[in-house]
Amino acid sequence: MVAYALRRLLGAIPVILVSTFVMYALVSSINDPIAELRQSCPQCDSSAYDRLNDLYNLDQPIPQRYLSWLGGAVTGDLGVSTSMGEQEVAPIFWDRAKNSALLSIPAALIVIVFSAVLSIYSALRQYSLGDYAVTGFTYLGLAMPTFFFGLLLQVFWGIWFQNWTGLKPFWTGGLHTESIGDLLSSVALPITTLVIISLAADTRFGRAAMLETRNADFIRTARAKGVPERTIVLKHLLRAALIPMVTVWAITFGTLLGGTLVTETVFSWPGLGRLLIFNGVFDGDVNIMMAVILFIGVITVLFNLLADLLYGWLDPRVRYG
Amino acid sequence: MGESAVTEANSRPQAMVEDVAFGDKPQSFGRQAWKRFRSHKLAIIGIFMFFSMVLMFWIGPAISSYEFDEINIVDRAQGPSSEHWFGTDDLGRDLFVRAMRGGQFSITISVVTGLMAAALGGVLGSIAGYFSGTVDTGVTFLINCLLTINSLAILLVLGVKFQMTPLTIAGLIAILSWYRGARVVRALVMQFKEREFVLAARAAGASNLRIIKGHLLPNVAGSLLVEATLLAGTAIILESTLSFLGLGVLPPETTLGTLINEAKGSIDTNPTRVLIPGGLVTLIVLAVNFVGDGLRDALDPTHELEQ
Repeated sequence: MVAYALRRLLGAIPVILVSTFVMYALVSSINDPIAELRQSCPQCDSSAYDRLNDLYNLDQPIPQRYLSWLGGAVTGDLGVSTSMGEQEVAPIFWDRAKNSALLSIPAALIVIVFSAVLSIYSALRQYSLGDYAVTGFTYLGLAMPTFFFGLLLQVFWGIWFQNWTGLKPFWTGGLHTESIGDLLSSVALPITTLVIISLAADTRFGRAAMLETRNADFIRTARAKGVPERTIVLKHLLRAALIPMVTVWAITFGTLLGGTLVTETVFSWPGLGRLLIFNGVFDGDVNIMMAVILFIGVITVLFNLLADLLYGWLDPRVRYG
Repeated sequence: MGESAVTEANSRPQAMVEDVAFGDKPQSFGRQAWKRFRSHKLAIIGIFMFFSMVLMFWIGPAISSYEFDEINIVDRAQGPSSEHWFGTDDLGRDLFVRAMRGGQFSITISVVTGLMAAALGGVLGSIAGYFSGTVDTGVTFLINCLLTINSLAILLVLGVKFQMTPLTIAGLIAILSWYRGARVVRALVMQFKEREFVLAARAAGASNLRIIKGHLLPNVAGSLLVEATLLAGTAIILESTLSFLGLGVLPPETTLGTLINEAKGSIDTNPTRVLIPGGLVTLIVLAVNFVGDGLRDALDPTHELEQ
């Protein structure tokens, strides 16, 4: 299995290289600091252009620039930002990554617990009122755009609830770290938004997995032998049905770590998503964009691999080829 | 996620078991699928919702006396009234007509993306599954690359520089998401190509193209259709997110996401301006997903759950 993991990791390297190169070529051909300087500062002399060329190697062709960027990125040097006063990108990136993790890690843990509970409940009481409620929630959660759900939470807690009760229990935007209470009340709504969207997908999958297992032959056998229902659920059903769910959770974890773009935008959260969208895309900052894109790519690959490994580890029937 | 195979076949026994008595007239797969689809309540509700929205989006602007880009400063920023059913925006444009216009785009984008992604994924997936070896390695590599690329990031990068039309957005989303259909088709074709009917066709001298077209594609078409439907739903959400971030189509043209983006500043005074377009996006995706689920149960009774 170690050999399999290593082989998969090695196989992932060219994938990361090609996809980051494509992104690098795309963003650097779209964003041209020289042309921008020419437009914003027509009276600038050649020393200004030389300085830009020096900083970002703009006189080199894109593949060469990509290679020097990659060389830096591998050693932890993510280059210099164009939009944020020529600061180093790496410290900004890690700072923002911490803020994103503040949302994504708790959200992922909540999703894991709740999707397990909801899918077990739903499957054990199939076609009950509670099951219909859970299924209805999964349909709604999958159909609602993230930003719309975030806006709804903001309207409800920021305006309506305040109008009714005069209280405003949660911050509806930004990261506030003055006290533990402030921190908790500023993460509450963005985490809820992240949870709802992922929870819907995972619960839907989990319910189907539980139902599938519940109707399997070995459960019928156990029941026929007179095994108590409680033991059937805990020892037979859960152990088998959790295997596919664990792999889905690994992927959810990866998606949440890399994909809080929209939620962070709605809640003005100073994390990687906002860094990518506002400083990277809107301000045309290639090094900022590439730092976040590389991070998302690596996280996605690692957690997909983790999902496959977990599956094989938990289910002895799976053999790696 | 090729290995995680959880069949849902047992979970809906009432839809799977056909009540066919021994002496009954045999039924084709298509007829049985249609019967299963018809008995799937949500799918019928989904179809009904989808087509009533199509009707509303295309007929609504015709019965309204306003144009979607007709500016009327005197009536600006009004709430819903009998004159302006959904109210007006900051330039006094009628929001009912604008919401209908946005709905037209969402529907168009979902249908075009679904069709294009299904075509791309079907062709590339079946080629990869059929001719293993170098072709398969190449397509699998492409699929893996697309997996690591965040679609929203690429759309944002392009959207900031180029003005998008609904068709270019649909095309881009299709190019970024065909791999999901391709994975399903590839796996199925790899199973089917070893089956006797394919071997028989090959023994009879059928060409590769003929085997793929005549024997393999019909067998994977159902799963591909299901995948395309689910993709159509994702495309609507992706497009509305893009325009919510202000990177959609060129004004005065509008989409549902653009309407939410324009209205989010006045959300505390006039929340209906956000609720109506947001609700419409949710309803369209809901309808499309209902139909997708119905199609899955009807066409692909032994399908594998894909993440």
